[in-house]
Amino acid sequence: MEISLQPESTKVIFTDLQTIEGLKKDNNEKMIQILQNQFYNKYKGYIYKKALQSCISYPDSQQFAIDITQQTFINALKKIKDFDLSKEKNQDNHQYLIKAWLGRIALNCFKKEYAKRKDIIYLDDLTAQPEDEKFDLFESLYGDKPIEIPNEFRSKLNEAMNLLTEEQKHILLVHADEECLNNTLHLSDEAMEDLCKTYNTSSTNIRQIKKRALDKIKDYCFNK
Amino acid sequence: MKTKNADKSKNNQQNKLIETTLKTSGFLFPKTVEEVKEYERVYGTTDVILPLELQEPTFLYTKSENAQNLNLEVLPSDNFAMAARNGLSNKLPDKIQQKIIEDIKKAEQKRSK
Repeated sequence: MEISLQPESTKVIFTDLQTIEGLKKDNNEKMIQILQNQFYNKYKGYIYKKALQSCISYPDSQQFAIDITQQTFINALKKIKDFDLSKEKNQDNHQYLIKAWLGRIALNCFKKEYAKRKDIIYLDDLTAQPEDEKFDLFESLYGDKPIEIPNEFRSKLNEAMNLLTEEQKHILLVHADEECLNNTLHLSDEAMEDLCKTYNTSSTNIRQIKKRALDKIKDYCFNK
Repeated sequence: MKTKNADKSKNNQQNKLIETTLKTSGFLFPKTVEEVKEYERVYGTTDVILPLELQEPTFLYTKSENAQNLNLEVLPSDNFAMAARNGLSNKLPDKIQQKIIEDIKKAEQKRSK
């Protein structure tokens, strides 16, 4: 194995599909490293930028974002064998699929890093949880087209989020991520358990905090 | 009854609007192709300046599953990074090269503190 300490000067630029498929065949260590570098260099900016935005209101936000970015790529490379990009025939969509996939991994990293910062130790950091057999990762990366959002509403929501405490904001975002802002919808058991552990409180209290945070947001966004 | 249903529907619409805005305004990671496209439409595709720790993916070589475990006994006085600076890196065994990368990373972290 020969390791260059200088930035890699890759002569061949691989497509996203070639990179992903190449990374699945781990028979040539040198080649794996070139592909890892190319994959990382193409998507590091997107993940870091996004991580920085997500962490901005938390303490030590830059280091938080760096940790999430690094852990996202480590986890992505571990899970790359389960990611089948070849199902999408339109090459133009490949980068969006990869970003959406990396986004899911980054979100999990965010949750775990946040809990670690709150001194919560995760057992599933050490043991991989089995995937639900019915869950189709690839299908789930295609969602409905989001509704159009006026820029004015975006800035208002941004201002409203700044009114929340770190705890309220985090609990609200976990609910939004699982599309459970409506009172009739409940968080997954795993997510609720994580929140209860993180804040050392009951699920009833978590729901109360979410309700108060949501009321505050709505009051600011729709009644002012 | 009608008013109650109308209120519920309005409430659900507001919740949906908030959820979608949070997903495409940088608060949450976009998790579908459409959300990524919407996020990039709003925020563009210009990357931010990366900190030193993220310039090169050295952490992948040291932390990833494929990274070999070091079975070497290393004395505290050993400084493999110096060998790299002296241009000997291509003559060193894999395990030592791995250690060099770790040393560089540690030094970078120290510098950035």
